[in-house]
Amino acid sequence: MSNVPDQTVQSWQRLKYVPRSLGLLLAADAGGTILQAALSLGLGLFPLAEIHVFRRLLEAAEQIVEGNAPVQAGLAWGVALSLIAVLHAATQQIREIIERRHQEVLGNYVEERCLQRVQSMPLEWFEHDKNYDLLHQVRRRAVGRLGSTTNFLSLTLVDAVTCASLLIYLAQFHWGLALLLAIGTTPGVLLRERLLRQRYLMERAQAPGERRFGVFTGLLTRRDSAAEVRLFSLGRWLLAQADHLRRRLQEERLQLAAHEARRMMLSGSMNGVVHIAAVGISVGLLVSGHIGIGAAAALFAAIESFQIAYSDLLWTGSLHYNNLRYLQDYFDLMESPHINLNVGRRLNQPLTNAVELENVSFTYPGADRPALSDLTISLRPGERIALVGENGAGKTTLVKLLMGLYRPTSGRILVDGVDLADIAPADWHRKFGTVFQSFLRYQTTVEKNITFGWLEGADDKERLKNVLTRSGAHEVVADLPQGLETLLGKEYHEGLELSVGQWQKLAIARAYFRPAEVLILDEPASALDAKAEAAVYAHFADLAQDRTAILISHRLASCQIADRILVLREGSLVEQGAHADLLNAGGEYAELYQLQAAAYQDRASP
Amino acid sequence: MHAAQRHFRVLPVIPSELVMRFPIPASLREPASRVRATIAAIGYILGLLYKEVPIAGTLLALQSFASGLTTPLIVFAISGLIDDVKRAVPDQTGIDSFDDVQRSLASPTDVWSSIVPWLAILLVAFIIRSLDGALGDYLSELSGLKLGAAVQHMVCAKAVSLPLSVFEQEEYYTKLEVVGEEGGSNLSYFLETVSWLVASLVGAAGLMVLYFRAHWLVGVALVAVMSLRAVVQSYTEHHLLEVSYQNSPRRREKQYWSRLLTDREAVPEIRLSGLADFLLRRRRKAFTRFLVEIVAAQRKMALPGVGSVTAQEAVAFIIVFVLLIASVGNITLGSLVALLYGLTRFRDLADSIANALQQIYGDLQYAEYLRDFLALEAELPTTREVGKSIPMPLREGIQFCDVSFTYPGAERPALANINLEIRPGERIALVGENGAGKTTLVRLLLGLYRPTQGTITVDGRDLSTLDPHAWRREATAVFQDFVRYPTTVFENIAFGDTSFLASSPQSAAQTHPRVAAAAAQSGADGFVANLPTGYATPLGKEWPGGMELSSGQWQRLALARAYLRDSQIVALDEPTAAQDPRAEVEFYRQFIQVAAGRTAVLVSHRLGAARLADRIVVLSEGRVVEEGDHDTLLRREGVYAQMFRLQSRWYTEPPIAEGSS
Repeated sequence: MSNVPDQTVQSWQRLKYVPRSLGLLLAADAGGTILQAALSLGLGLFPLAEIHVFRRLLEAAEQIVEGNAPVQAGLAWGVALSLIAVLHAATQQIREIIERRHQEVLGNYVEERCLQRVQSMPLEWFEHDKNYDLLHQVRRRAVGRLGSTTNFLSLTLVDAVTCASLLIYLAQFHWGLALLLAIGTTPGVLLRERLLRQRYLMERAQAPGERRFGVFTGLLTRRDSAAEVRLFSLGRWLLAQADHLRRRLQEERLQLAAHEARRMMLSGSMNGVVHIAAVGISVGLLVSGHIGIGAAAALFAAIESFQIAYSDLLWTGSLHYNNLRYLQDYFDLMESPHINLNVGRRLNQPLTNAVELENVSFTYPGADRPALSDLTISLRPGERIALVGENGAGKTTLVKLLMGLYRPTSGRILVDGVDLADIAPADWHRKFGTVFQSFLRYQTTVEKNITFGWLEGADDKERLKNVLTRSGAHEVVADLPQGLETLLGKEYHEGLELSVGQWQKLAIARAYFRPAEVLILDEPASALDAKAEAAVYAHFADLAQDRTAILISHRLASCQIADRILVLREGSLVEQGAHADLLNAGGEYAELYQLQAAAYQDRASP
Repeated sequence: MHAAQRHFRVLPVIPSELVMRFPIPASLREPASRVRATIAAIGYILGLLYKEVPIAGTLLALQSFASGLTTPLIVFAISGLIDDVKRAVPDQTGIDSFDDVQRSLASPTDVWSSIVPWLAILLVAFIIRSLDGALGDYLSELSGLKLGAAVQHMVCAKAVSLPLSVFEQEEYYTKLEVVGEEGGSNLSYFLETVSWLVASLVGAAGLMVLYFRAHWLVGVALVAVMSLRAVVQSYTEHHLLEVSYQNSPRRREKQYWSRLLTDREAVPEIRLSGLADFLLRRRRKAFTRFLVEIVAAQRKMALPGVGSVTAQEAVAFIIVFVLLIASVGNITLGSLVALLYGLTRFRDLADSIANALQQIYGDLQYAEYLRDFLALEAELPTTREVGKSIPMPLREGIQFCDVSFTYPGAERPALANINLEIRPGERIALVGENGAGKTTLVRLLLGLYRPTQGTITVDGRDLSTLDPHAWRREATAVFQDFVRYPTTVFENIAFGDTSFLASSPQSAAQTHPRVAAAAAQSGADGFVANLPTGYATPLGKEWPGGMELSSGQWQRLALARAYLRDSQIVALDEPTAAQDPRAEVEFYRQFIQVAAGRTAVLVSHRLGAARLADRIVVLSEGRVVEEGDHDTLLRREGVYAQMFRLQSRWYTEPPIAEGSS
């Protein structure tokens, strides 16, 4: 395969994951793992036991057949053989049953660990497409695969134990036999390893193509895109793209498969020859009288069993080998730098003085130009701020920095004189109630959609009622068959689907529910009707003096109620002041305001 | 003496994770129809195989036949070999009597020449066995890939042909999840499993000859025990699947929380609300409930499972031993070896057969589900007037006559008894509170949903009798939840009219002039020019070098997409929700141009924008409550007037006093 780069993915590098994966298995389900290992060891030895008893039985039978011994002489061995066979079959069955549960537990353990780790990744981590890939990879593939780690490991163990024990057994008849089989089959193992490495590289090279393929099939089958795909008749084009991609990926894989088949046939023929040579030696031993008929039959059986166990080993070993790379992804994820949300200076007091941004700049990972540059702003507790600016001016980025979700690339943020970077993130986060521009739609009950804003207060019915009215969500609830208990969303249960505006009202209620010192509303009314919009602004105006509020809005009229308006443009602060002052100043803000007001003035033609 | 059933790739490749998700298709629940459904499913798969992989399938069948023969061949050869050696060396009793052996030995060449045929048979068998791994792998991969791709194509093609309302039902997602838009990965191992079944059956049949020759009763008994075990095993598997189906919602719940916890869009909100631990606990709870029931089912099934296997073993040995004891004196040592050794090989083959049947059973269920999915009704006109030509241009307009629409599974209608006329070239604004039914009305107009009651006519013809695709070619739209295609900027716009996809240059600076014009109209051209590779820039974090846009920027791309299409009808659902004031005003200016000579429907909460319309239609709780132009409605002092004043006072009155709610 010339198109597969021979990179240095050394197998020994992968082997370092073996002890770690064992540690993982023990941590996830120690009992299950040990049980599996013990059963596998036993299963691996059964063939040897069977062959040995078989031999004794035949030797007894030979005597019986020739009339040298009574039938009873063979009976004990016959019973023994039956017992071993029954035990073998039962053990195998039991192992499979145990395996299923173990697999579920292990898969769950791995997924849970990943999820926990992801929760403590800095938010910037999600902005790197490489990381996003890794997360995707682990979530979608590794979790399912890692569940079968023990299974592959124990299958490999069974085969390895069988092969080893049979070789030792064969050596007792003639050392040459064991040597022949051991040496003769080694090239096959090495070749297999090489082919697996090539396959790994190919699959890695195919990953972007697979992802693009997934994008196309997702667009074809998912709800989010269903309406547009129909309207614009995109189906045929998307389908053709998907087919084209699939065909290309398929061709590459088949090419490799053909290459593998050719190589494996070569080594397969060699194996056949080795095995027949071993049989020849056995026959020679028999004919020359070195061994008896019973021993010879046992030898044949051992050679055949070895052949089967060996080819199984090649297969199960390759499964395990393949699995190691998923493990690698998992360990990579677990080792990514993370933050502990609870470590840092504790912050239990309310804000007293000010939050100050000092020459703060921020550039998204991988972006060319900064999203925010050299901002210096001071916010006082109790102040109501409006953030205004065109799309992409940096408004959302600014509040994310303020909430401590991103860290400034340069400059710093001071909270009552303390650098925000030193404060425990969890404590700082507790101070905010936020309506995000891309708010979430939790697939659970209406009530939980609101109380998720503040779990500690989930039982406060009074507060809930209050919040429902203030956010306008009570109107949404009134229309629902089971009121607050109505299940929403269709992802995993048959819930109701709300309109975008209705969801947004719930998101607002959720933010209000939180007893936060700082309320941040990022375009909270984008999907709201006039009445709900008015209610949001009224609430904003209504806020108690000890709460700080930041409103991002394209509806400039709503900014009138702010104590101070900050106008951003391309990441810099260009104007600030109260509504009236800014109008008088006749700058950017005044211009935008006049534009918008025109639509509502009586004689104006839009 | 080794378990050959571990050859099953199916075991690791379809982890129980996936197999367990299979809901049992209704047709397989009823024992009576089960047989019929099974036969139908087999027929279906065979048809599919014949169509997709005729050559590889045939070769694989031949190869498995040959590979199945190796086991009986080896047993026969060993048996014959032992008898011949024994005959040539009559008094041999073992290593101890080495000298006697030397004396009584027939000429060594005689011995060798009599056993050479046996050795030759062994050689052939070993070579076949060694080669069939490699050959079988290749054929399996080939047929698996092709079959998988075919299934995947069918699933996607079907999905895209379904009416939009199907996507509102949970049932669709369950079905989709089972057939897996990711690729019929299940059927791709079907052929491989069948080839193992064939090989094992051939092997077992070959060995059976041995036992039938010894005594027909032994043969019959062995077949009976083996069949019993296969039946028990498939029963337990069936039961397990059924239990896991009941658990499927738990599993999906777990997956939902997992996805939410890793979603880039969700992470900020979850982190800020400190919800992570809580959601992790919920996820775990769902998993625990799932596990408990799986384990309970397994516990119940363990006894029959282990019992049947153990019984098969024990009975087989007892039968053979009885036979051997009964025939002492008139049986050769070779036959004895063959019968005993054959028994252990037989066990492996029986395991293989049982496992293969179990896997095939799963595959058949999959096939049943696939057929079920593919049988979902595609979106077609209700009558035979398929493809009836679309009025071009519209003369009388579009008429809603007593139209109601209820979402599948919803209790109350989203729209009730709508009567509305839209004249050609008219500009209509739809306003109303959240949930009033504006979006639903637009979707009905575009023919994406069909009225549950009443009719929509286009120039007097029932819309449901027209070809939906042809009708949609006459319409363009921006939806409120427009799609952010993770593709290039160019593709995001060109999706509005797929004829541009193939023909256009899409280098960084240069693009098709029409695409560039649409981008200019929507105001997207500005930020596109700033992207590293302009129109060729991939969007979304999924791609290396992919750029992420802001909501407003994405919305402008959606607008450009809509503008690109040259159509009679334009529907814009909240097209400025995410736009800044300058862009909003620019949009209004463009809207006049875009709507010129076309029929336009604009949904907006920005009532200032509604004044652009010739007529404003006010919806409330699924009904039309007011209709007329801006001035008329203001004079009426109704719902619209109230809403308008609410919004406009921000711009016309001095700042409101604090606490005015």
